[in-house]
Amino acid sequence: MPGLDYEVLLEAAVAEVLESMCFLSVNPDISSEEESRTIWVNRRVDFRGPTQGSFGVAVKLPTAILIAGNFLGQEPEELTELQACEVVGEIANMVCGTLLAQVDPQAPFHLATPRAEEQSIALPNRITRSFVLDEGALFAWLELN
Amino acid sequence: MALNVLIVDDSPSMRKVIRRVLMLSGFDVASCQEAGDGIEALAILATAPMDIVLTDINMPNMDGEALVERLSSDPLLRQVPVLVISTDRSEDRLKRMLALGARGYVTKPFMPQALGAAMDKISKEARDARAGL
Repeated sequence: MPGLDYEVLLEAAVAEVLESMCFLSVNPDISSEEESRTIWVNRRVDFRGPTQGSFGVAVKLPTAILIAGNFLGQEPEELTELQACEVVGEIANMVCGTLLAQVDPQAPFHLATPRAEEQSIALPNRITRSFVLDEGALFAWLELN
Repeated sequence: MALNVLIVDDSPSMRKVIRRVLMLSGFDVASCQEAGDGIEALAILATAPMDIVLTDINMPNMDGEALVERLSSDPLLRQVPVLVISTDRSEDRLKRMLALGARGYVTKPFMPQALGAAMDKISKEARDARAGL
C-alpha cells in the first residue's frame, strides 16, 4: 500500500512480539550484515489478502536456541535444534500477523504455515531490517508481490 | 472444579506456551490435551469430554473457523466454550468468530495476563455449564 513506512512498521512488530512473548528487548541496528558462512535459521511466512507477499525472520542458530529458551521458559541446553527452528517459525508468524494488522487493520489476511527459507536474507526486492538483541542479531524481511 | 482443556494450534511451541501460561496462572486444570488442527481436535472431542477449547485460526486441514462452526452445530459440543487465540486482529474476523459461537478472542502476541483474564471469564462459563446452570 502506498504511503506506508514498512521499515517502521517492521520495527514495531518485531519489538512487540519479542518483548511480549520472549521478554527480550530489541533495538534496530543499521550496521549488521548477513554473514554468508554462518548457519542461519531463516523462516518465512507467505501471506495473502489485500496485499500478497512473504515475510521472514532470520537468526543464527545459537541465537535461535536462546530465543526459544525464553519463549518456552526452558533452559537452552534442554532444547533441540528442531525446537529452536520451530520457535523461529512461530515468531515469524506472529510478527507477520502484527505487521499486516498495522498495514490494514480492517482486512483479514491468511498466513500460510511457516517454512524454511532457502534463499539469502537480503534480496533486491525485499525490505530488510536488522535488530540487536543481547542474544545476537535478528533480521526481518518483507517481500511484497 | 478442575477443567479439561483442549489446545488447538498447528505450532507445537505455541501449544507449549499456552499450556505453560495456564499452569503458571494457577488455573485448576484436570487435563490438557493438544491438537494440531481442527480434524485432530474433533477426534479428541469425540472420545474425551472437554470443558474449554482454545483454538488458533490459521491451521492446515481444518482451520479454526471451520472448527468453531462444527462445534456450534453440534448439540452437545456447542456447550463447550471456545476461546480463539490468533494472529488475525481484523475486526471482521473477530466479529465472525464471535458470531460463529466463540466466547472470547485473544490476539497473538499476548501478554500472559491477557490470556489469563480471558481464561478467567471463560472458565467461569465452563464451570457453570458443568454444574448445569
